[in-house]
Amino acid sequence: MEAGHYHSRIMSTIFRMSLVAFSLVLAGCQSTSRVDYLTYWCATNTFEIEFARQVVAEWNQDTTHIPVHFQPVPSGQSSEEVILAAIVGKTTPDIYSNIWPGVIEQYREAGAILSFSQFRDHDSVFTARFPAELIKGFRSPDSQFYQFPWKGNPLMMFYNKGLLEEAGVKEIPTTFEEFMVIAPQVVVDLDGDGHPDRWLMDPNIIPEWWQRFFDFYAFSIASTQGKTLITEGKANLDRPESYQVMDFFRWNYSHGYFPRSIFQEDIFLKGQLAFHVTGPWMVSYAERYKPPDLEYGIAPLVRPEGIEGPVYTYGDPKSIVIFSTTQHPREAWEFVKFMTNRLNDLRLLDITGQLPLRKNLTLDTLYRDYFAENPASRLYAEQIPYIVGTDHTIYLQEIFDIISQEFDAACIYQAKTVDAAIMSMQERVQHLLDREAYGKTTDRP
Amino acid sequence: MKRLSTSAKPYLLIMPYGLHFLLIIAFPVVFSLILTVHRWNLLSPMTWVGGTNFLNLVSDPLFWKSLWNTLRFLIIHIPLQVAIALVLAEILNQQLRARGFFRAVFFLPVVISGVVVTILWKQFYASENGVFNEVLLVLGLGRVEWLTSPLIAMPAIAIMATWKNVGLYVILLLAGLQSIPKQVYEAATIDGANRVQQFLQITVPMLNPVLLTVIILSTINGFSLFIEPYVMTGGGPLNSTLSMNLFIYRQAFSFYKMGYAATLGFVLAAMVFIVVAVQRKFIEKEF
Repeated sequence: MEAGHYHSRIMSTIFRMSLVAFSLVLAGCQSTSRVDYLTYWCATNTFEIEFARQVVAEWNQDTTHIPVHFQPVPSGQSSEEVILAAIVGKTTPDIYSNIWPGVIEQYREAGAILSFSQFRDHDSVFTARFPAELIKGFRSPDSQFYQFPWKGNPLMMFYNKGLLEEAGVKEIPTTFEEFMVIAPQVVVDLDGDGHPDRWLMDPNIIPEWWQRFFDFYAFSIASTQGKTLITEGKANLDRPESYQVMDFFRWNYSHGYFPRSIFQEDIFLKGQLAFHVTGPWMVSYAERYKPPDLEYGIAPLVRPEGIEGPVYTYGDPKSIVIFSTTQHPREAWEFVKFMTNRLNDLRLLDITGQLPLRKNLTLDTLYRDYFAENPASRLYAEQIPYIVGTDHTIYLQEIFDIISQEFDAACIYQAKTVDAAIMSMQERVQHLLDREAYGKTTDRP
Repeated sequence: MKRLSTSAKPYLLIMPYGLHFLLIIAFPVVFSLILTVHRWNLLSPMTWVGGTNFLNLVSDPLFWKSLWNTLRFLIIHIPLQVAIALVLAEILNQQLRARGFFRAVFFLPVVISGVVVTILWKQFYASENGVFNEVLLVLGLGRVEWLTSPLIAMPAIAIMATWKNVGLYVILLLAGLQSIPKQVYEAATIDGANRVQQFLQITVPMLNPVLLTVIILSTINGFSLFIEPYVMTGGGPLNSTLSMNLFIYRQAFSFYKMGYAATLGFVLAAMVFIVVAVQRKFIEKEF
């Protein structure tokens, strides 16, 4: 009897404790208690973590500042997925510094991020920091800024000097036509097995939507003097430059000058590739891993003949956002201004080698020494005023997926004509834009 | 108090599994079912769309393409897997030296991470300097575009998946073979049946329950094809390796179309159910 009673009390206690624990877990998920510090998530690479550590340490030294706690964005398939999960779970940090502008519209529509335009001094800060042309691309359709453009990775062409000299190429091509002329000189069968042993360029053939930033999109920007894909809600893909870009890639793939292969290793560093489209991150990578006899140069993207003026490119920018879950928006804005001041931009260059998006980067005396010591980075920095981001639409990934499908079919595998591919792109992208414009509720694929 | 404890005890005892069932199984299934009639991008509130997701599915060419790709994979993968597993099980059932070692070797790929195996095979299949093409060149044959030809990419993935999974089915079939009494073969030998007749008339019928299990498991695994095309080809070339699961993943986590992805998921589950039911009807026999 005593034993049974004791047993039932234990069971009853376990049951009650389970309920309490479950309730606490649920309550913890929606905690709204006030916190007296800011949380800042940075990117996961070692250099950016070190940058964040130094900036936060300096900020926290001043006791008048609200303390900042930083950590790298938690691990996941991609940082966008982690941020999305955090938004859904309402566990976002106050500040995140490595956001891709392509997702800003989704977050804005969901009310997940704050507008920088609400801060009285935002206009003077933005005007002082950014070139007027550049900043236009970061303004949302409601004319407000929900992102603070921080750094850019302009795409340019790395080229192998030795390989081009050996192939008899005297001048680096600047146009599609010149590129196509040197193609047969570069792509040759060296060992007589009937198969080329080196190639002209190596666009990635995997049909992932974001791969098209490195080929179709970057070369479209170069060919159109910096135009994106959408103009006032209308798809702008059926334009002469799209045909020129697609024809260029199709011709090179069909002649075998661009490999339709998946490689095991980096064929640029192996000396089998003449040109490789990449960003400034390649500089430190190449310096570290290239064989001693490989000499490389950096050049702007090629474009169709007859275009004057600077060469534009895709800038692969990354921005800073303040999430609407923050309890200290004004303090968060002060921290953003601090981490992007002139001195911290020098720190960003020194530690990460990434380029801050700011006016007169190469002319500012503060950065002169850095660029004198890093001439390759200087070439990328000079490209900064001529970079372009992406359009503002919630369907950006789907639009690039459509482009990827059509590029795959028309250029890489020549399974359809360029005309048919561009017509299809134009029609399908316009369909998405129409749906966005009219706020249709269908979920059509 | 005693009455309370007596009545509460069974519920307390089933509570751990009950909670697991409710939170991990029932809730996601019911929630997914609700999603099939909604549009939801995780960020904005759900919007009721009725049967639109199902109608869109019917008119989506990529859905039909991914369905055909998955069936094409199954058509290659299941017979190949069953045949190889049966042959290997038959060999391992003989009195071989180091039989235990070979059994372990064939099972090894099953326990290696799918991503690791896939990355390894991606290197084997590389058009330039991949192991397979290097061997073909040594033999005086031409290069094969293993993962970049729309015709060959899916069979190449099916071969890899067979290598990865066959060990599990070898073990199942081996257990089945060892449960067949030797006397049955002895009697057949006395009656004049040769090895082929014995295999067709004794081994295969008596292995039927295990074979059915192997085929059903292969089918379910085949329908869940994801890691291989995701890592090796990204669904290309020309969407020839876009499996149903990869298609669902993209709709959900690249384009945030949770409603459409849930609809595809339910259709996939229904198809697995139908195919397995058909397999049971035609293969399962009582002996």
